Amino acid sequence: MNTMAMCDRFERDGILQIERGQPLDPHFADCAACATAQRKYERILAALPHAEPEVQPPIGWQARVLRASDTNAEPAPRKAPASRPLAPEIAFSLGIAALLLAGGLGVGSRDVAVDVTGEPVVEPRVTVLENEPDTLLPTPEPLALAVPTGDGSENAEPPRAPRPVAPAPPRAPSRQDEPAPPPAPETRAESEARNEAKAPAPEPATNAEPIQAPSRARSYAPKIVRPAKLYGFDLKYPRMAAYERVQGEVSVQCTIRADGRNTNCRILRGLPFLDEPILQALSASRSDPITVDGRPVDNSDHIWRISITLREGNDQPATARGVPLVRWKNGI
Amino acid sequence: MTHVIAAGRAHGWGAVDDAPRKLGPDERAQEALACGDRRGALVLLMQEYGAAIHRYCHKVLRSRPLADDVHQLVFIQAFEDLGTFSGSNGFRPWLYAIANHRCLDALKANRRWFARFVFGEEPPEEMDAAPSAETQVAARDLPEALEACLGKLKPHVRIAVVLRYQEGFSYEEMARICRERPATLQARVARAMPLLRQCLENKGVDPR
Repeated sequence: MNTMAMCDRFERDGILQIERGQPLDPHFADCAACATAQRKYERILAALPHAEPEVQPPIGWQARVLRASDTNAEPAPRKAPASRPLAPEIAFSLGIAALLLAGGLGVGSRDVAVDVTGEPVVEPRVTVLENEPDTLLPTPEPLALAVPTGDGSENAEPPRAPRPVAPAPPRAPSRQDEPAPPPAPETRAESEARNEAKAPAPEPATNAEPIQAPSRARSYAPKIVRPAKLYGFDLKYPRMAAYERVQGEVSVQCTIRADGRNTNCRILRGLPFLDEPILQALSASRSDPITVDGRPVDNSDHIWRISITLREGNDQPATARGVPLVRWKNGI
Repeated sequence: MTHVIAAGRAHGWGAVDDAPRKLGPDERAQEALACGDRRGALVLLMQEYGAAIHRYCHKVLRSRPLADDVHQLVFIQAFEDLGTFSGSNGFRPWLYAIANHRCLDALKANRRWFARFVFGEEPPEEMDAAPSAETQVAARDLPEALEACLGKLKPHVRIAVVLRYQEGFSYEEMARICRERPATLQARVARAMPLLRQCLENKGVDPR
């Protein structure tokens, strides 16, 4: 009886026979353990089609694919086989480059100057790396498609590495020139992409006045406002860093919550002795939330660039051991 | 399909209303290809198979962000290769073959990336024969537990099971998609079943 319970011939041979469409061994009809195993197998087979995750493609993916395919359609490049192994050095360099360009999804940056001598904070150099609006905000209406605003600054940044999204160049008018367009069914994504392609199409300069785009071809560009200030940024400048006179620029990526908290901060580019104090100071500080069309966005990534400069000069106060005394100005 | 008709009217294409609706998506995509409209064919394929391919990528990769990226890559590559598509077996196995290879590429790249890091060993846990109460509650539903168990299979085995019993391909179609022999895939599926049964029982689900 015990040997019957231990029989695993069905799982060893029976399942393979079923999968290959072969007749089952007569043993399985007599063996109770095999009959039980067969029932379990059939139950698993019945449940497998229902064991699917409920996931949907991301919003706007069709438009992104069409834009990328428009970009690729012109030169008709032949891709190298993607399965070819990449040299580790190249792969690592690409990974670092992608990390630095991580401007991609919801990431912008601000430069914040920190004067460690306690002087008033000056020169808030601002570098905005905009990203694609539709990564932040779903398309609000069926015919509106999120496109880059085209003011130059955000288009200068290449797209995030893993996403095959590229700014759509203005397409040459193709459909209009055709004498008899084939009655291919038009879909929403294609019509959106067509409207998007029509809008920036260069028109011959026959009139000095700007030509108004048709009403259906209007594009939607959400207004993204990123925080410029950190409140309560209290950096504890370590003694060793002061001794080594560490200064420079650090890049920290944080997730800004809707209430202005900076969470999940991580150093992208750090400085000796200063990484941990900067992370602590950022986590304890607050900023304005990132807003899209005036509405605060929760959990949006942001890159803070903090410039730490030691003031040079003879009036530098020093401790008895010669370490520069560091005073901090809060409220950056 | 309302938006299709509305878009056609907006562009002055009255013929869209009268287009025959009996053709399947594959035939319409073939017609678009025959007219040289690769873009139209791509749109049709995205509408018909977009969600299914995304689900398949997610099932193979077990990661939503990775699946989103690979899913778009699949259709971009499909657009590039539409000119050389023979059409002998239909678009569905062709798209799944592209998705399969791109998923394997992504898994390989991920594996290489994580191989660069040394993770600390997890602290030893005391063995308990009975599944935890949390596991029992979470895995009370067989399909839900089965979905979790599928994630524990090796990628090649998981691909075989998913293609066979979730996507409904025959072993011959699977052989073309995976570029393997049918007997190999049959053996993989057969070996996966005891593993799934064992995983379910560990989760406290008895598939009887």
